Amino acid sequence: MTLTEITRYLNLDEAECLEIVQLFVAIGTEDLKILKDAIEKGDQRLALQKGHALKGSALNLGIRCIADNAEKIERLVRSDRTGDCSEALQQLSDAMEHMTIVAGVKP
Amino acid sequence: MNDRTTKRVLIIDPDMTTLSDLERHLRRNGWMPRRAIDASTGLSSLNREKTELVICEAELPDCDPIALIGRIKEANPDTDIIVTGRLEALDLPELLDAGAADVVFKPIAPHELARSLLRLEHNQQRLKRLIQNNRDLKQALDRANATYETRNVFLAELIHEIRAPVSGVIGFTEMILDTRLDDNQLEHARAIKMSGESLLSVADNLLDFTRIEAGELDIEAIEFDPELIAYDVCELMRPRVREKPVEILCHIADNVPSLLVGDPLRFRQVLTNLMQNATKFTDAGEVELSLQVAEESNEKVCIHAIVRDTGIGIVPEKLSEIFQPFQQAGQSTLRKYGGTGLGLSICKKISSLMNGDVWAESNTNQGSTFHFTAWFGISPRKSSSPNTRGAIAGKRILIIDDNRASLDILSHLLTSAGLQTVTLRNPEDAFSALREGLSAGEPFDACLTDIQMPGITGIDLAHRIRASESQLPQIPLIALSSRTNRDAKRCEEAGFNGFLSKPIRRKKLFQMLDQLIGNPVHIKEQKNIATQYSVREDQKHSVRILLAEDNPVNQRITELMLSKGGYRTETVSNGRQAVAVYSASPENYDLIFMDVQMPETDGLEAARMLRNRGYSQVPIIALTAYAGESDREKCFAAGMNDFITKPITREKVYEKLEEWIFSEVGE
Repeated sequence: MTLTEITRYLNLDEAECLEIVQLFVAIGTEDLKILKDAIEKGDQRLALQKGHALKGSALNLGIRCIADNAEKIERLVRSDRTGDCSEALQQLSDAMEHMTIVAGVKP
Repeated sequence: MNDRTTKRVLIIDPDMTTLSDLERHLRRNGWMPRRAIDASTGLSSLNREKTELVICEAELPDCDPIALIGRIKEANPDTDIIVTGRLEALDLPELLDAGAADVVFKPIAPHELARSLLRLEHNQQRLKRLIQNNRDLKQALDRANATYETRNVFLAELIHEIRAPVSGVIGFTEMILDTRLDDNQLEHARAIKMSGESLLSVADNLLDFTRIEAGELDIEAIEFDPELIAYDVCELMRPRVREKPVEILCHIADNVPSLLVGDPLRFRQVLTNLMQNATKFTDAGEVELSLQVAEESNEKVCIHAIVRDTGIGIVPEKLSEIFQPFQQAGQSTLRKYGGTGLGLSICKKISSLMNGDVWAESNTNQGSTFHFTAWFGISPRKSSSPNTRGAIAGKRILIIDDNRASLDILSHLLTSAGLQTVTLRNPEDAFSALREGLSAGEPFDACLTDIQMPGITGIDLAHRIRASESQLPQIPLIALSSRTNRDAKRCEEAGFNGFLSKPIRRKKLFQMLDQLIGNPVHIKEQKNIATQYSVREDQKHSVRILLAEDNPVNQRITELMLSKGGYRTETVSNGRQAVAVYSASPENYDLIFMDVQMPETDGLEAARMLRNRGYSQVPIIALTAYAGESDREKCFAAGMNDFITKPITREKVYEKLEEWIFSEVGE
């Protein structure tokens, strides 16, 4: 997902989209960290809350790979299968890493 | 009857000789006979032991034969009964009707009895075969149903698989169309988009058809504005007649309720289909959609939609066929106009699900009229639309249009709202009508004129009026155009104050008249031509929205989308704040967008609290990532009016605002 694609998806100005993507990366990175901790500690409620938040904001930006993996984690947590979350978590981390580049946070 | 060796027979006869003769005969033929000399003994014997056959005398002392047959059959429905007796004592049809398998006359000839027993046996074997056949047929039917269901599921999945990439093709083609293209590229990209849309519509029709076949097409019951849908459908048709001299007309009868309860999607689908056909088969003239009330009761109303065109028409003998699936009016029609031939059969099914009907009247080259009726609930919510418009009631309006139907519709719209109208079909007469009004001391307050007329066009007329040396140049002029806003600039240069696209929406017309002649100061201040969009823009800026959303990313996206649309937004981060902010000054907000999942107080709880505090009018629209039926129900149960499923897009947000703000404000 590139900034141009997000701009086209949201039908907003590129500068506005960059601002939103940067906001998404800042909050999403923090949410992802909390999500990982919550899964590790078995805090189902918190994991669901953060997974849902990530899914919602990623959906709104049209970032499907993050939305889909967050949804997968939501499903796994809800069915008490937190042990199966590692692959989706890894993909989430990779996608978030990519978004930090899109946001210009990382070169 | 089962195997001959195991079969039991009860003989009921008071005559000992008969009993003995019959017993002997039956025993020889492998039966196990028992005897009874009257009905009551016979019935007791039957109760004790299962018996395949009863041979009973018709003239028993304690029971008539019909009653006896009834009692035997009641307790032993599988037992066959042969009635014996004197010829004159037996009423054959009556006995057979009562359930006797056969009748044998006395004195009983052994070969007659043997023949009767043989007949019984054949009947039994036939019955057995019949039962087996039925069983086989049922299994075959079950297999066929299972195959049919599998086929339907497969077809539905296949169609979904086709839809997704085709939507992608259309979406990306739209993006290509937004870039700089030369004429050839533009033409090719448009062709791709049109082909994609055509394929998508075929897929949608097939999907609907399979759903209907499988009985899976549900009809919803939600509130909607039929007028809004009718105008939307007409608007949708305008690009289809862009290159043809075809006028789209829309007429909504005064008694059509402003809010119905039913399935707006399916209602729109049928209207769209009928209008698409009408525009497809009409090369010149007009296509008119009108809504009327056919029947009304306290709680329900039957809406009658009529789609009339001046197109190629249909030969009368084909009229009933066109509603059959995969049928069109003829092979030449199919070759020339394309299509699956499913649209009308879908309309027919939908109308029948709405307890209505679809039918057509037509003749070759004389145009067609399609009728669609459907029953709806009447919403308990009353429309705020007044019959007369305070600020403009009584004003005199001159309307000029060469199309008779269009003129009638407009005149009716205005007079039913309390305005006075004078109509002219010939623009040559307009100037003198305006002058006469002035000299008679009854000047017109505004002039509405079509701009595509033969002879003097509306543009010419406006130039002449503005250039005249009397009081006429002051009159507000509104241009009516079948084309899109491309004409607005030309109209502004010609001196028009307002521009409206046909078919003229009642609300938009009144909004514009309110703006142009309802407030005399306004027209003096007006710098640019008023269009339906500029009038709408003025309204938008006065709309205030409360946004309750905890996620800062979603907050920002929604705020930006709303501000781009010209709306003013105030944002809060949870349900508790939403309740507090709204309760402090409810008059400041026209609508609430409420995220469902929020910390402290979630959206559902906040909606419940607001409704409990008596704020029943403000529309609350849920923002939710869940799209399931139960999630929707939770939103409605909490008092929310509608919902948007994430991802939140501009289109979805604006559509809801259109529905919940402008259908109200615009009234």
